[in-house]
Amino acid sequence: MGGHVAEFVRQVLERNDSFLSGALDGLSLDDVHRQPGPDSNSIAWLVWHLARVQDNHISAIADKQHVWLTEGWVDRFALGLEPLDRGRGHTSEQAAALRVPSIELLLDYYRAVRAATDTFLDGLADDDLARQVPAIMGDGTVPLSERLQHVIFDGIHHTGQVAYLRGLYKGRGWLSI
Amino acid sequence: MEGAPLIADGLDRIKGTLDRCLTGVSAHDLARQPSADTNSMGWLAWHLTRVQDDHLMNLAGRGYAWLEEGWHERFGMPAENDFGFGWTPEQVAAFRAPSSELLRDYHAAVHARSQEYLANLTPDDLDRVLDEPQWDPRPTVAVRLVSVINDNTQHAGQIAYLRGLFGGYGWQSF
Repeated sequence: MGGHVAEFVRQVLERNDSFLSGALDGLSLDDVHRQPGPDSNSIAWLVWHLARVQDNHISAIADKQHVWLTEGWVDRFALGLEPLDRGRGHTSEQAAALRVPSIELLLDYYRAVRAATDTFLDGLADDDLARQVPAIMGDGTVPLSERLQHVIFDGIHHTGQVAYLRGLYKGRGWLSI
Repeated sequence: MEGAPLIADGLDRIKGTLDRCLTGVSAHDLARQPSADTNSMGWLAWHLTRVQDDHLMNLAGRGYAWLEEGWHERFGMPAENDFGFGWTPEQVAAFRAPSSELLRDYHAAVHARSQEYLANLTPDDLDRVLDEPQWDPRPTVAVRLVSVINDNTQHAGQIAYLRGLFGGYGWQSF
């Protein structure tokens, strides 16, 4: 059982989980690869990216491997990217070229990442937040809380974008939360 | 519950996204909708700020910046605590924020009041159960703050997406 902050983070992420699965519900593979503009990210790219970002943060602060690698997701997605690519700095061409095999696979990978995050949160005490962990980019360290904040912010930020695209493609009235 | 610093940091990030996205944006793009029933950047920024103003000031037991500081007048809107819930597509399409600067200024005013509230929040405050019998179980202060972070961060992400959709690759430098 984690500490109070862990519980707060878990609540935020669980709320986000329900938005994300609601936004993806009933979409076709064409829908998730659609781009509203030539430089705009598809739903598939956004969900893959937000899951990869969370995988990257949690593996770094828990000092473990990405589940992307250890559970073989990298092979199942077969994206033809560098193994640890998480989408940061992708060109418009790279973002447009990303194709996921299925929405189920996308959600399964997201759930696998979330399970690893929950395991990490189970062991997180409030005193751990000040602990120094590797910085996101480059050398040096940052407090653990800073990377945890990125997990929350980045994930919800992109989930909001997925929800917006859902509304753009399918019209209003889908959101029941 | 010791989540207050995380919430405070989350609100700072939301403000940072709004400041970046609402700087240098044209009035046309601010009101632009990619389809007839989707929200514009201007509406999203107004709505998320009004949600934060409403929810946080209710928790603080304080009046809304929208009314107390006269922001509704500057937006040319009635003196009502409307935050956009249940608006029809016609209402959303008709909404015009007077300027992106006004949206940023209103958000900054709400942000300051929110941070003032969070700075004085104790762990006991966060566990307080709200007198809202329409919900089962009744929410706590912490649950309400989780809602605000989710709502506002989602909408900030949507504003950033629209800025990129209208402005193209490379509009942001972060």
